[in-house]
Amino acid sequence: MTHLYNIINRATKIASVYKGILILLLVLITSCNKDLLNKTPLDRFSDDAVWKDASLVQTWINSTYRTMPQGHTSGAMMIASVSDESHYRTGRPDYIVGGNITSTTLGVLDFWTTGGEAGASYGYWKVITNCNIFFDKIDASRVEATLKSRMVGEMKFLRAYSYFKLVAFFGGVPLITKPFNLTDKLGVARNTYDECMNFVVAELAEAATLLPLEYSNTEKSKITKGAAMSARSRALLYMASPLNNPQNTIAKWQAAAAAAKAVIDLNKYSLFANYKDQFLQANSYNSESIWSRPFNYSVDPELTSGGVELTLYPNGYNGFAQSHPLQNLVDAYEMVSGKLPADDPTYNPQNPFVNRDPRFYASILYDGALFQGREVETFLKGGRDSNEGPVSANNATTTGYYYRKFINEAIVNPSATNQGNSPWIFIRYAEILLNYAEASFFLGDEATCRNYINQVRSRPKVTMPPVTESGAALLTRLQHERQIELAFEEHRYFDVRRWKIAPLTDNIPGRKMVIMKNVTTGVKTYTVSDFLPRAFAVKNYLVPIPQSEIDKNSLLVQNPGY
Amino acid sequence: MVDGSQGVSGWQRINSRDIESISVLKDASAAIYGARAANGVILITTKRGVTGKPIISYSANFGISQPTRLPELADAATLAQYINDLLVSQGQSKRYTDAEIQKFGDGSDPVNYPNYNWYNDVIKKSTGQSQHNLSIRGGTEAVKYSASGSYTNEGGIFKDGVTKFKTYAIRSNLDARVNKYLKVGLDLNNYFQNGDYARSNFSALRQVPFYPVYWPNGLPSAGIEGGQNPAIEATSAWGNDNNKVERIVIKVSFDLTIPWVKGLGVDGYFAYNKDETERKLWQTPFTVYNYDKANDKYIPVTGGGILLPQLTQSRADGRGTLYNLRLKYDKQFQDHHISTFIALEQSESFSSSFSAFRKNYLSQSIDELFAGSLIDQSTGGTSFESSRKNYFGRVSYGFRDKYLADFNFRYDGSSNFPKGNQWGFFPGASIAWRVSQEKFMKKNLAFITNLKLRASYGQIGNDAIAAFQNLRLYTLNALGYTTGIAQTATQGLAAGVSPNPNITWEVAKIKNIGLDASLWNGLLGFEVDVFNQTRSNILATRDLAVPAYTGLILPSENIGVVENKGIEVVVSHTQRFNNLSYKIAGNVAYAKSNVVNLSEPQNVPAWQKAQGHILQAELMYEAIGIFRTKEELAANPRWPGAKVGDLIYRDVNKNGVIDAADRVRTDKTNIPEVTFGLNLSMNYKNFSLWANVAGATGVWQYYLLDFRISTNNLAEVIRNRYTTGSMDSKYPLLPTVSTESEPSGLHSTFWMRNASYARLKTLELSYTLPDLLLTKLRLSSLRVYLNGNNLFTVDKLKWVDPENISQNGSFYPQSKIYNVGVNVGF
Repeated sequence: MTHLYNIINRATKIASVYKGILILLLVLITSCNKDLLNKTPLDRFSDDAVWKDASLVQTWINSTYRTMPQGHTSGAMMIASVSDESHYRTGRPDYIVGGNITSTTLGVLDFWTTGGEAGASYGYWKVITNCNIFFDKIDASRVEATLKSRMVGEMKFLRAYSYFKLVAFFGGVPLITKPFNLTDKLGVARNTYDECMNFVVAELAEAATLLPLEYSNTEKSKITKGAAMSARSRALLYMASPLNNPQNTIAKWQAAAAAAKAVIDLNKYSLFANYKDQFLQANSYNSESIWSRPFNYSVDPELTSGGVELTLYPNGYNGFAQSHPLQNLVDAYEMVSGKLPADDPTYNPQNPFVNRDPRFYASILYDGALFQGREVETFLKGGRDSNEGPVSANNATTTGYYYRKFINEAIVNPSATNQGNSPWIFIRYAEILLNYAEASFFLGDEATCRNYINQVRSRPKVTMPPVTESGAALLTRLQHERQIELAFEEHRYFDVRRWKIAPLTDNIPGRKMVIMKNVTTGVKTYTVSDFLPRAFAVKNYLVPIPQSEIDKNSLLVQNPGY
Repeated sequence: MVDGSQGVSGWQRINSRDIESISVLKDASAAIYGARAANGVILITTKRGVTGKPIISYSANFGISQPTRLPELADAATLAQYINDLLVSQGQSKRYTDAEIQKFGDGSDPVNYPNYNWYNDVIKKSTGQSQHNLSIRGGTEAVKYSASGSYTNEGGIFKDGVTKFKTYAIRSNLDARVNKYLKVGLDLNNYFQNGDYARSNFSALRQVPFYPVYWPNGLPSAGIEGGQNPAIEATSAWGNDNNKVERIVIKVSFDLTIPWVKGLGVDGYFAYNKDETERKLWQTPFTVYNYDKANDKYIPVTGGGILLPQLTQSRADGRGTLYNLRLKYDKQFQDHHISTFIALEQSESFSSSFSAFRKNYLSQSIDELFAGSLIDQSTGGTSFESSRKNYFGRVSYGFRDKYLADFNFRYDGSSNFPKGNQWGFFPGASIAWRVSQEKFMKKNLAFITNLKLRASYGQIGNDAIAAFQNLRLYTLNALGYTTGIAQTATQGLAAGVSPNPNITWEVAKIKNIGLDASLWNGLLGFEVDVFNQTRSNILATRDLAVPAYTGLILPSENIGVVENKGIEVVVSHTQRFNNLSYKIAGNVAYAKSNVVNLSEPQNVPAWQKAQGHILQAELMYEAIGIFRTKEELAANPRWPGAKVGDLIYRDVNKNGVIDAADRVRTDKTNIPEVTFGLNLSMNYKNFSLWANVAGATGVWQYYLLDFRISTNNLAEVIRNRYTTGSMDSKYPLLPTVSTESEPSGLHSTFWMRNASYARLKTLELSYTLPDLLLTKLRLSSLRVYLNGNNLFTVDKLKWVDPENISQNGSFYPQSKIYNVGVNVGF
């Protein structure tokens, strides 16, 4: 009996243990809820959330603005360094100016797969994709109508401007206005130059009707009606230019003239008195600036590798001096007489930096220029800003010059965190005046042409003597004025191509200035010499399409000559 | 797997004294471990209690480490000459006169013409490290325990550097037998690590020899530019990057025998882990100096890239739970043995992060957030969760321990895939025949102690991809647009991948046949394994085939098939004499991948297809010589702009110029084709010797060396560079790698270097005290040892350590370590 009792007792004990285990198992299994594997993202927004919310749509537009390639991201003045304006110290684009660009070595001109020198975070195709997604979604979104139409205007502008730049580099590109899906057929052929540019011009015109002339103080820096009209003026000028208008169709010049005049007639913009200071952060949104891209390192550390000051200051001022103006450009700055140094008997090659166009002093640091309390010293032996200087001699100039345009001279010992935040000005009023002057010239209205050139020359802090030439000489003066006024602002590369003068300007060597200082007498000897082989072939009017893209898409036809 | 739990973070840092055993599964038998087992499984078992009196042991290890090999950089005279040549080739004037170069070389004026060696001046001759471990184990039949505490301490290699790294760990494993049928366990494990780092960018040490770390008067020099003196940036002058990790793992387990059915049982566990990572990045400006020789003046520069101190403080938390429940049955019926189980496992993990930033600190004295400026401060934070659920099981059958068969399956679900594609079924099987158990073998071939033939096949799924790729998602970020008069920052929005609703498991099929043999009781032993792994449905992006203008951000897609084949052989020899025993084991493995199918661009020439090549095979120009004369240059196809002294490349497509179409898919990668090793262990009386040699061949490393004027580089290359007129220089015109106009700097086979090596990884000599002495000392055991790691290397590379994978040859160097240690049992 006890035996049996013991067995029962043990069995119940065991059973109670089992009960515990079974309960545990039950808890376990029931806790395995069916939705265990169906997680939702906690760190990102869904498609629905984004497009029904005007604030989120706004952030999408913000990103699109930011993605637009511009000149200050690298601060290295790369487009200037593939033209006859400056030289990049490490020689990175030398093969491009040497005529050796190929479809696999677009280098800093690869604005197809990246944002060029600005890198992969930027790019025209990225902007276009963002815009296409926006247009795909915005109709169905619940954004209030007035705001929506302004947003549409901004995005139409950004997309059109991106196409304008792509076409300027590559010629006709695939004109894509809808976003792609994974399953879509991805091969698309190039549209023609005219198809693309007609689209650009029409979209810009439409954007102008949707955009305000002015924004509130909290939204300045956004695209205005004036910016859209101005971009249209540039687009129509490019279309009318000899490269793209071989028949010299007058209607194209008329359209270009009308577009520029329309901006002038807004009576909204005027030349800023101080040529140099218009590029500074303090003068953002000045009367001349039509569209600019602000930077503010302290709230948005975008230019983490340093702003223009760190990138362009001479080595002796702790700058990296990555790009250096060429003698070719320095020679193009007129004497105050209005004549080129070569044509002015008062010009002394052994004292070359006196009595030059004020824009020379505003744009270029030369040996002897007063900068931050001392003279710039590019002379040898031992100049503090030469490759024999005590500070980072490896960063010294290769041409004898440094940049002065864009920089904020109040910045001492620049670094990534100590920068002047100069905005990048995409379009300013002086260009519009010169656009109008150019179109007027080709329409035979030389008086108007001279009038508008001279407006630019008579800016208060410039006051160069008026241009009086006519005919071919006037055209030369016009082209020259654009070279000087808009130096380093990413115009020259395109201008010499559309004017078809690149075979002259880009087929001559790059020149530099070497200054030797006699240690005992202190007398400096100035010697100009060739140092950079430069060559231009007809194919170089356009940049080749990247081979990697042609490999992916049989429909893409390479540009001639590559 | 640590004690049965998968993917335990920090397993690499488990103190070796806490480990009972480690085994490695390489063949299809790993398949049962599921998704993350495609590349094999390492099983780590930690020590548990044993019945008996408490055993207390203490072990200590003290070591010093030195870099195995530092690159030899050019001396001042060699570099000055090179800089002159480079400047002249760029159309610039020379920087140094011949007389100056002479002075750099002969050391006649060390103040004005010095020759500094930065590696010597920045890196310590040796760095100390130590480890301590104290443990206690013991127990009764009812309760067994094992507990241990460990401490490790390592220093950095920079002189006066802030780098130091400490870890603390406590591990306690408790086993209790509740009754005859039930055992329960409780494992607790707490780990803490604390590391201080500075900005120790190793490549920044390639400073030119013309200026020192410190000027003769003791002031720090400014380095190349921007006040970046890497020696100063390694010290607390730069600040401190403190990283703390704390990890807690709790595991409760049970093992229940069901009495009514013999052999039936249930076991399971619940594990919880919590990881906390804290980072405090405190950066301070410092002052360094340039020396103005002409005026004998030191010019101060602010280094550190900031004007006032700043602090980034961040933390990341991770929590994970894991349930595992297993029904098992194990029984012997006379000659038949059956072992089987079916299991359910479910895991969930949740992680979150938080960070805060303030700058413009008024004072350097307090590195806490409150002390920073209120202006432009910023914060961030986010969370993420994921889960897995798996059913798996196995049936193993053995007949007289002679014929073995095993079937297993897994049915895995992952939250990384969308509903409908979440589940994957992955079966596996293996068979083995222990030939040596056969009677005829035992009778006739008795010298064969063990002979086993085995074959296995298994499928393993892989879900290691970013989650939610079936959805179009947008990340809100700080990358907006600056607007307004005040130029305030706005937020931006970035689109994620284009949705791929079809995304699902990648599958690896592993086939393996093998043979294990042991002759004359281990006098000779060998293992041979032949394997073939085919990965299909590979989760990869199609970027090679998608044009840029589509703007598509590509998700992972199930594309491509890659095969990996190989053979592995281990031969061992064990011998035992009276006082002497030893074992020698050598292993060789050969493995090669082969792309069967991959998404490739449609229009590439045959010699550029990835198909049929090693997975990582790159497109390279084939260098076939150096242009020595103008005639040679004119007569050969060349890269546009090539000069005499540049590399000659093979014109593969015979179009008369060298262009990108001449690149060839090259099967030389830094994944070794052959790896090998040799282990020797020897015991003589109370002495033991252990040596381990490891090596690899068929391994290549590509070097992208930039010979600029601003930085120093390998002396051997600079000395043997092409100079005008040279007919036999070893190297071409040296590239600065900053431009496509340098034909010799193209991605070519010339800069692909043979990185094969054999290395004495470990050599250890130890002495165990004899029992007699131990009794006198009242100790249960005492062992002292001396050992060394990476003591000796044979290789062809010479430039840098052959075990690096850095293209510019600049990396934190491997260490040669000398240790002395003691293990005591009380």
